[in-house]
Amino acid sequence: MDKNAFQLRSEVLANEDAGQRYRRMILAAPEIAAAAKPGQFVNLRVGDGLDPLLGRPFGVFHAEPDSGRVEILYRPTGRGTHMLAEVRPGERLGLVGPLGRGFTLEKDVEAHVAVGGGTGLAPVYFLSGRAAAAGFSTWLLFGFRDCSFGLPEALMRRTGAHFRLSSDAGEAGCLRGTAVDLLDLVLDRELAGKRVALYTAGPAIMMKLVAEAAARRGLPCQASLEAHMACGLSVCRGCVVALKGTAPDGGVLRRPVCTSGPVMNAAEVDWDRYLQGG
Amino acid sequence: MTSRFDLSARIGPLALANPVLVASGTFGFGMEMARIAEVGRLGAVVMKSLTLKPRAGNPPPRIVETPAGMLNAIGLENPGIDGFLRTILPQAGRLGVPLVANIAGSTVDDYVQLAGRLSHEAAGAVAAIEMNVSCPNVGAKGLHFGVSPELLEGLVAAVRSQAKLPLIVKLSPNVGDIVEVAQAALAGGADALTLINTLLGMAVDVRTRRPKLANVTGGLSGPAVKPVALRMVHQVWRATRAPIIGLGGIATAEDAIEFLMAGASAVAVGTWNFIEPTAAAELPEKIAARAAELGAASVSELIGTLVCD
Repeated sequence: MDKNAFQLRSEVLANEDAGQRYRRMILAAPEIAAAAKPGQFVNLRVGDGLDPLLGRPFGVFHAEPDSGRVEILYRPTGRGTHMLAEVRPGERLGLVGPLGRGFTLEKDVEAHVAVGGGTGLAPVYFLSGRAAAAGFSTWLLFGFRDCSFGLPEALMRRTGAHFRLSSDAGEAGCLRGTAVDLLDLVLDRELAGKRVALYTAGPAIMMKLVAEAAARRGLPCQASLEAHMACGLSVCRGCVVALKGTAPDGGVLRRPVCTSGPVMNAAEVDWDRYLQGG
Repeated sequence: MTSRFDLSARIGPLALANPVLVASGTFGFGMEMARIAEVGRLGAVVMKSLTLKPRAGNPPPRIVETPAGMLNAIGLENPGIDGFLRTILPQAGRLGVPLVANIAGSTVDDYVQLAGRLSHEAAGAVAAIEMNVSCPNVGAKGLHFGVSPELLEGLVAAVRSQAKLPLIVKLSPNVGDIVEVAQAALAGGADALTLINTLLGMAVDVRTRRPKLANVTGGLSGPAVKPVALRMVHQVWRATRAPIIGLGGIATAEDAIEFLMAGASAVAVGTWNFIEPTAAAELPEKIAARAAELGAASVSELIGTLVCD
């Protein structure tokens, strides 16, 4: 069988503030940079110690086959990500990837619209960059709590997609409201009457509302899911999520996020169970 | 120097190219890992537990990380013996590595049927059968087969009568006297023993006052359990001299050699497959290099050589 995932000790090239409490880590990972597709993820260890033990899954934020660089975006929230924030350029970290099924660009549509929030920025950002580079009309909509400390302008422009932001207070340049409000506005005003495909990643409630908007409007929608995960290769069977339908034994139909996803058809996800954590 | 080291291993009647296996439940059926690891370099792949009927497994959260380890309560999710024989075994059989089938049941008859079907329908493709006995016995008020010497001996003897393949019993560490259950498994006819399965544990979320696993309790594995596993391997080796597959927290060649010295005839990598999925396939070469540094020329020169005054 051909190898399509790689285990590396990857050099950290940069680990810097990226605005909005995000940090961006740039890793030297040529095999992964060449193979990674939007929506795929990497499993990154935060150090060589035994605690924490497991790698952390991060959606690929950006990958450059030419330079061999892979970027991830994270927020220091838990113990592992706080340790990650302390890593310095030149250190090496255990990295496995690319993993999972990424987004598939829908055919026969006039615009691709990616909707993200929280750490869901990474997969939709990567997707919108690749879609825009391929010449498609692409929109990246992102919801923040507070727009006053936004991402660096240069990073935003890099995607080449039409960029729209929302925030709770509606500062200059931001729609006041949620990413879902922003989606409704863009679909009704700027893409009215167009055949559109939706892609979403971020908080569970946001993805559920985007999936409902897609169903209401009859649009295809793909969602990038998250779960507690160990291996990322579907051998531990730890990261299952519930889908609509019934398992062969009559129980809840569940699939591993790591290989059946993380990107799934939003219409197939049991969003109420997903909101409750499984 | 390492090229002259003899890596060949023997687990009772089972002869293998090297002593490195992977633990059931940590490597799928083997082919899931072929996308990243050179699976053919392993001594054998011990496949995920099979039951008679397909099982969907437990609701999530199924796993939680703990210091130097993790807890799991997967619930034996598997496609069942029919799905295994029909669709999985033909694929796994092309990996070019000996396969060990792991079976689990809730009655003696479940195990007997599973062993019989594997012996008759998969004898050419499967090198041995490993019994997961850390399962509740519905006929004995949910008591686990692996905690009662009497239950275990009867179970192994029943399976032995149907199994035409080498029979390995994977022991639960959640017992008062590991030697007693090991002797019971051997008395029932086991060719070899695997030590240890996971240690029963739990984790608590103080904010929600809830257990972190949906199943409340789960099995602890990873480097945290290594000292317990080494102790049990050594106790059983001293008392029985039986062939043992040692596992529990193995990540490095040094870890593996510790188990061999404690009395194991072979070792298995478990949780570490989740962290470094290529590590197990690279371990035979690393064992050869480290053992040669220690002055050994073969695996058999390491087994049970622990010096205790």
